[in-house]
Amino acid sequence: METFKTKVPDESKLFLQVNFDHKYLSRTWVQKEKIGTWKKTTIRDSNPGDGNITFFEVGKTNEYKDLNRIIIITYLDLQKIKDKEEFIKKMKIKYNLVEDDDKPGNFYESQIYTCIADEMELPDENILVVTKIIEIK
Amino acid sequence: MKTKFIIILFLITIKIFSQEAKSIKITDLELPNAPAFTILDYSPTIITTPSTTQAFTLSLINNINSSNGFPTDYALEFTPYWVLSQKKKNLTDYYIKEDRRTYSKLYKYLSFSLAAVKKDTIQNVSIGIRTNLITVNRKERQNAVDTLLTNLKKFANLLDENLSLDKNPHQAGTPEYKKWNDETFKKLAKLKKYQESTANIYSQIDSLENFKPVFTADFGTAYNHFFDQNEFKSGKFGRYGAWLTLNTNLMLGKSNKNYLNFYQYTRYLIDEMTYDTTALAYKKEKNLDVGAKIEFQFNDFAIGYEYINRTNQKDNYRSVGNLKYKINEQFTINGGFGKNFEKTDNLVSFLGISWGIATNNDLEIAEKTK
Repeated sequence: METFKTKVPDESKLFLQVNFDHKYLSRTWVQKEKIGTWKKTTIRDSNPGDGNITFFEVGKTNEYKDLNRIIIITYLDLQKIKDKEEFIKKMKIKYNLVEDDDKPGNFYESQIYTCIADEMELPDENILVVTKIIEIK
Repeated sequence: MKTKFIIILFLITIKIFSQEAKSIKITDLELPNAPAFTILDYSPTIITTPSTTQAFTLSLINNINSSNGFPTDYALEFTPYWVLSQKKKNLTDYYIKEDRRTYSKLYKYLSFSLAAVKKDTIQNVSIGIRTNLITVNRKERQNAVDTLLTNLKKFANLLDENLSLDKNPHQAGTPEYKKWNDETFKKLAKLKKYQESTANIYSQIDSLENFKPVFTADFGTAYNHFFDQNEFKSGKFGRYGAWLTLNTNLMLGKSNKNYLNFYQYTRYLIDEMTYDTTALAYKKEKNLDVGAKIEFQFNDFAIGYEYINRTNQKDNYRSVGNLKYKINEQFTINGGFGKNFEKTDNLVSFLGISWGIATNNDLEIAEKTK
């Protein structure tokens, strides 16, 4: 789990991008989960077949700070990958979370997170699921 | 000189592209058609069009005739757009955005090439540039992409309906949460509909690669320098050429693997490689070559014939028949037999196996900012 420390939560919004290379089927869902509960809402999903998501507005920072967590679930199909172990070892998903007022100028805060081994699951030999959780402080 | 050149080629390969070996497809392994190689006229065919664009291709030709067991000819081709582009390589970019374009973009196919080719005591070193000026894709290909897009949407719906990940009744990150998600994905993997859908999508993607364009126009130019008797000081200008290749492909029947291909070729060539024994100097010639090629392609086998006339010289032409057979995904047999332009020493006789190292744009991409 990652922690994103906001700078100007009253004035800013959060933006997110999910980026990785995979030439085969994949899909990503971005959810928000109310802290202390299991209640989840899907706020964005990727284009069919492709798990990348370009920058989009997650919501007002205040709505997330200490209230909601961001959960990013990525599914990758591994049917065409010969050396799955090697592939998983090298798999790099980048999550770029930005705090900004959406006006020209510098971001208040920008963090790029990458996926780690603990976040990867193989529910089936041909499916890799990567789950990243980001808490907003 | 040649050894140094080869070492440099390999160092570049290892240094820049030190990554997992990609699955090599037959389109990467055709005999080098890089301008730096074809300028020399030694290959079974000099009328070619670019194969699938790769960021980087290194081709080694093992000519069976040369019998020393080690390849003597090398070609390296580098396409800056695919290396320098910030564009990620994923399913949508790779198969859909590119394939959907009716016309290609000029800068995308601009490539630079280097080649080292030895013939008898002559060591040739060449550089070349080429680009695709225009590509008109077939309607069938566009239709296939549209069908693929529809199936991808259906696939996305299938996943959403069967996963409903936002209904996981556990807090994210807990063991129970992971277990619930795992079981949901396990059920999905066992669904016949899911298996059929993925198999169908991959089969459609594979099929897309076989569609040849209706029409292409390609421009190439190359410069050759040669060295005699392994003497560096003997190095001198050999050839310079610029050429235009027009190509049209007719699909035979309904299969997108069978084609009748026509090529028209025009080349301007400055040649200073023929030694004049009377004048005791290399003779300089300026030539205009105009020719055509016809090629039948049936699945993994292709047979063709090319005829190129040197318009400014009487009875000087190139007439070569060539064939290509894909043994498997990694090796191709190439052969050619016929007459080259020269008045003497003009036999083209080539039977060889080609293989190569090719890579797409899977390089580390710089961080993007919003």
